[in-house]
Amino acid sequence: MATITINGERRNWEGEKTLRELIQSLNLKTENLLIEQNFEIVPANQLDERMARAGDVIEIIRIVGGG
Amino acid sequence: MYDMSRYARQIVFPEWGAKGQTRLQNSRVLIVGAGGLGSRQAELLARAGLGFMRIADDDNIDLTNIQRQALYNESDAMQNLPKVEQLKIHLGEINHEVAIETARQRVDKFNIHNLAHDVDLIMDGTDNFPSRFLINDYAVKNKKPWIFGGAIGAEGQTAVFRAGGNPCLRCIMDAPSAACGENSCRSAGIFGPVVSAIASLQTMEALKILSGSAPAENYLIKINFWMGGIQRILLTGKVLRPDCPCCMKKEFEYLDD
Repeated sequence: MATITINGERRNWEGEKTLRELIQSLNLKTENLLIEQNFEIVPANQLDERMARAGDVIEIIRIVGGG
Repeated sequence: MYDMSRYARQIVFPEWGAKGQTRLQNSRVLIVGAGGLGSRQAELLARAGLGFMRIADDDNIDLTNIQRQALYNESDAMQNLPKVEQLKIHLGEINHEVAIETARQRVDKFNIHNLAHDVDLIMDGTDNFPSRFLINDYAVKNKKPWIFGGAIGAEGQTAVFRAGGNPCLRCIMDAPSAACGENSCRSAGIFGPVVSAIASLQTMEALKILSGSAPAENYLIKINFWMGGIQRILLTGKVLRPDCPCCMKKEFEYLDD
């Protein structure tokens, strides 16, 4: 079974999704997210163009306020 | 008279040494906000032997602050005393050699130049994004490093933003969105160890920059203190937004009228 690693956690993976679809499938809003795909930062305006694929290592961080 | 012997435990660290200590003694820092992050940054910088700090905050001490904000005590809260003035008193008891200036003001576009023009570095001790976008605009325009810190619930994050091949805050976030307001400490909670840890990470980065021994690479670091996870994303060398209005187009909309 193909896998993808999201925030250090390996998950089963089939086919292709855009990064926006991936984020939505995780039930996350795209607001204030910093996304790294295979150690490259993904510009926020490219979520619909970039594809998540098996074997990818993806880090997703939501920037938070407070203090 | 600056007494070097009191800093023996950090001077003995080879990468720091007397040189790092002397540089810190000659350094000037603005701390924006004297809450959970800012009060701890101020304490750590004073203990470390910073030469000069200016602390800006317009808030007064409340009993709900004592759970996480450094140095303030019950008596300060009962009297509802101004944060910056009490912080200055408590810091003076820790290290009288540090020159401390207080500004009982909320940092805004009208006063930021006066508060920040003569410092080497700006510490983010704020609790909101509009203030951070203002700091980012000022810092990019004036080529000053600033150290972001955010904490909410049991999660905290930090990043160094500085010129020289690094993105700025606006490369990462387009605008202070409505969601930022929802994520306030009042509604989502905040733990003392979380703000202390983030303020400590921020202060360590400040010490490295001020001593001239900062590494070339900067990361955004996020720690989930409840689950125990740490994430980091390398920022240095990445052009996040070729059209960034702040660091690329030099449009400083948070500074302008």
